[in-house]
Amino acid sequence: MNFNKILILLFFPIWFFFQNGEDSSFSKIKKIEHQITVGHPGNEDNGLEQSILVEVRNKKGLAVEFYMNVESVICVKSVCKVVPVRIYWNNLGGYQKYELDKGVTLEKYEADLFEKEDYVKLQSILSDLDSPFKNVRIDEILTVVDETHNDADAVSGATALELDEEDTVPGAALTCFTLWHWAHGDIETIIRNFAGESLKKQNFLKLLNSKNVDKQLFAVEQLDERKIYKKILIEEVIKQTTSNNKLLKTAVNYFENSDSKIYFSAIKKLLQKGNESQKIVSLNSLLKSELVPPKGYYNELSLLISNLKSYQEISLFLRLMKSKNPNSLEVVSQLIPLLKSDLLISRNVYWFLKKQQLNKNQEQQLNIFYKEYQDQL
Amino acid sequence: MKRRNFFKTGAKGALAAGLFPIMGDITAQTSSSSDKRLFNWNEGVEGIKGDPIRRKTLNVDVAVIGGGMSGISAAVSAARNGAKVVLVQDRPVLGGNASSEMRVTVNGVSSLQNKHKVERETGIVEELLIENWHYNPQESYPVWDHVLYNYVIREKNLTLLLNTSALSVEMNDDKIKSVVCRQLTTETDFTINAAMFCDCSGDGFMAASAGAEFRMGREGKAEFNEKFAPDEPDGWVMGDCFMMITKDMGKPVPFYAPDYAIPFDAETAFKDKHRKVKQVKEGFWWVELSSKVDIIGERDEIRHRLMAHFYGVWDHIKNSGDFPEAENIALDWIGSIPGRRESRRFMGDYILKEGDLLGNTQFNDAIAFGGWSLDEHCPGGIENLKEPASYFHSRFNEVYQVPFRCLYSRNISNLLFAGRNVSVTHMALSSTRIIGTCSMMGQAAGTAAAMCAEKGVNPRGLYQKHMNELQEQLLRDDSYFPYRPANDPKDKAKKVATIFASSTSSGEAKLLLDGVSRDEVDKIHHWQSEGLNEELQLEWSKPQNLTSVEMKFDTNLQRKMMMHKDPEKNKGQIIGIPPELIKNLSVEARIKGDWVEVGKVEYNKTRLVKVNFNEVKTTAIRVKLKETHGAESIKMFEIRCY
Ligand SMILES: Cc1cc2nc3c(=O)[nH]c(=O)nc-3n(C[C@H](O)[C@H](O)[C@H](O)COP(=O)(O)OP(=O)(O)OC[C@H]3O[C@@H](n4cnc5c(N)ncnc54)[C@H](O)[C@@H]3O)c2cc1C
Repeated sequence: MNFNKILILLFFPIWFFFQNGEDSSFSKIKKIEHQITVGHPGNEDNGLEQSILVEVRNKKGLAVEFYMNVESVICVKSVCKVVPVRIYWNNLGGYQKYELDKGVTLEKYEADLFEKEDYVKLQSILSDLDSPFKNVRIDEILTVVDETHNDADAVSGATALELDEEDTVPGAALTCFTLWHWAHGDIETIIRNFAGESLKKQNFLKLLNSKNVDKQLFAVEQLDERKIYKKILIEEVIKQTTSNNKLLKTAVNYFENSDSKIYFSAIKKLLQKGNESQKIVSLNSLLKSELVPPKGYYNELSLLISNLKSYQEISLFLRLMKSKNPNSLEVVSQLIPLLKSDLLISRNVYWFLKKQQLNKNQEQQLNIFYKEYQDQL
Repeated sequence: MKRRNFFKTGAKGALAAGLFPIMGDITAQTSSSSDKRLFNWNEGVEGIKGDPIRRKTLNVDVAVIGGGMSGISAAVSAARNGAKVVLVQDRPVLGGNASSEMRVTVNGVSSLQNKHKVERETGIVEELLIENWHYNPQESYPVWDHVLYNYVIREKNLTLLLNTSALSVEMNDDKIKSVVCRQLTTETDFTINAAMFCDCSGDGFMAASAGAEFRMGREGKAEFNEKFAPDEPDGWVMGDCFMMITKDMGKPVPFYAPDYAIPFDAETAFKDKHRKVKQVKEGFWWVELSSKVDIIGERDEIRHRLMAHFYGVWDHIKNSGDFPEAENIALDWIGSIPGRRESRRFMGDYILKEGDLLGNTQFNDAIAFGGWSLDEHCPGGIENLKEPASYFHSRFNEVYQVPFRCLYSRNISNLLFAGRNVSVTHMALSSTRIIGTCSMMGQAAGTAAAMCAEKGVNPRGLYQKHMNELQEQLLRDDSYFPYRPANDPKDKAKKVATIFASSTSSGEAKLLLDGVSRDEVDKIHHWQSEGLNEELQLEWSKPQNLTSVEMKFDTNLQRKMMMHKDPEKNKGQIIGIPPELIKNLSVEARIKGDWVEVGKVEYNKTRLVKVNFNEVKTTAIRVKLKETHGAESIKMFEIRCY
């Protein structure tokens, strides 16, 4: 993966228009060859293969596209003709298209050629992230499909591949399988990491602001990968996360990998501004965190109690206080009003308070609660 | 009594203590004499001269005859449901067709024409298959026999009699009063008195002796409107067959056929696409022989002719020159008792037929499911090369239901059956005979028998008055039948005010209460966490008295799990405990505001996990789900509280 060098080679006529940009000037379109190692489930034990991934950078030096040449069929005992296929990805590692060299054709079982509509169908199979080929095993494809799935002979038919016509190119399941697994899988992460390397602060901001979850996730993931914790970027991540649960896991992960100052302040902001799921994830994160918070942090958090609505949020909060901030006067006084909340919550608060140091008035309130609800405790 | 104590006390003490030691009795220990004298036949010692048979009487709730996979399932379920059970098996090992004596693969529903393709059976058969990978990753059939043995004898309330054949019955009108079984190794006749009798012996000698109505042969098209059935009824059944296992000697090895081998007509045989030699590892299902007269009466003759055909085929493979892949291959094991596919089918209050399977008839008494194709083997087998080896008439789009009324006799009031001898047509048997399906039926028959004994009703009465209860118990014990969600009024989890999880990556915690304990095609019923060390919490408004928490976890029911004779066939399987399955967990109850651990499970091996504890009064339960057998998150399908 460290072998970056300028690519001079050209494969296809379609690349003609790039040709002028084929020098090493940084102000022009540039191609970088990465030697990569990537697994394919068609290989024995998901065996790794060496391959060359080409990164195309635009004039601004940003990765815009990737491609790689692969073989159309992966197989120990080759059943059909093997031809080179070029697969293209965008800079998020998302599959885009495939191309064949001029004059090259794909073949089906028993030497039938691909028809025009087969090429179209292949494109739609490869574009489908949840294609059945995702979970198909190569041995299922290599097993000749016949009717027998008899008892003693179960396997030949029982595991033999059964796909709806729309999900495969009949007679070319092996090609579909091979290409699908080149187009998806580990290669996506590899591409994202290469693409991430070319990003600058402004690019990150743009991605975070893009309103496109895939791009946003990519940005947060790459910030984490590259350990970039600039204030403006952190704020943007928080802002975007509070309005989209899909970023939550990646974002909290990003904060958890930072230092304690950044982490605790980011989590607090999520607790202030976030919705229920965001608060639950944040509270769980605090519970598990081994970082040391700034002084008074948990007391300050208790001021946010009124922000916590659901039973799960409150019960997490109480657990957090029990383990990280017991016997705090602030916490106790913030909790007392919750004795008037719905039963599940108030009961939990009651038990928490019972173990805290209380003043007379607070004791009294606890007793009142007990009298009223003793048979529901 | 603890097992070790039992051995110490010896058979005498154990038997004297009340006939049935609580722990699975050791079968051969039948002598109650402590007499150490030399036996001398001249002295005319009683039991030596005259009638040498020892005699014993056993009183139980449920007697299960036949220790194949359906009999094991029936006996264990009956015992787990509180009945005193005896399991009578005529062979030295358990497993029937699946034992080391025959080595038939424990198949289940597969090749469905839907997204799932495989729909594995749950309950006893799944517990056994998982346990086998735990003890026997080496895939040894003799070890598998002992995995079954261990599974059966550790069940309290269950006594196993090996090497013991059911010989005769004593009737009381339409009721079986007792069955006499002879244990050959101890020359002992056991008279077994029971409230309920389950015939899971395949051939059904006990049931037939009791006068239970049965059929043997093929129904004609018209009788049940079965399109794949022959035009006219006849006596043909699907055939018996031997399995084999070979080994690769690493160099060419000769094969000399025995004198009695019958030459194989390869040219005609191979015209059928099913009669092919696709491997040389594990025998050929199409080398089979059947009968249209009396397959049971002819069995020994069939055994011999089958061996002759088998060696003829192997001779062809080794010596015709057409199979170079067999050059280094030598026979390592061949069966000596033929596996049996079909003989008597006992008639129940319902006869399941082809149309029920294809049309997925919905029964209010569903107790199991099936889905193997209509795989009807050819009449005559290897001696009828004119017909295809099997008619794979049809596959299924979804799993079908098996009703309880197929599992008890129409005319003998306390007789149940399970396995290949149940109340189905020949055509339906071509699918229901698969071992996974047989085993689910066994679980249902055993559970029903225990309920009948406990309630003092016969199986028909159970059907009429307690069907819902039977279905609920089966579902609670991890059986499954489509379109029948569990709704157990005793399950207190149904009344929770809230249920939530520490994290969710797919599904929802409240789906754990929806009564369906597996994902169905396009319908999820699970909750899955983000990672490990997760928690699930249930909270009630009012305090509950609880003694158990029961959960069902993921074992990936769309992946096959059985052992094969040919390791090539394990592709796509995982040889070991399913990595998805929970390994360690604990259950806590909140008592007076504090979380108290009430039970835990370490190195769990089962999909259904029941954690029992002394009664607690609580308003909340928390399950700490620590780790799996390998997967990085926890997936489960159900939680119940009792
Ligand atoms: C060669 C062959 C291949 C097959 N292939 C498959 C396959 O790949 N997968 C699959 O799932 N199914 C297969 N089947 C079908 C399957 O094996 C049977 O339908 C299934 O085993 C029936 O289970 P059972 O418990 O009813 O009977 P069995 O497995 O036959 O068990 C009955 C037991 O009862 C014992 N018994 C009989 N009479 C008495 C008596 N009087 N007293 C005491 N004990 C008695 C028998 O010895 C036996 O151990 C195959 C069958 C054959 C013959």
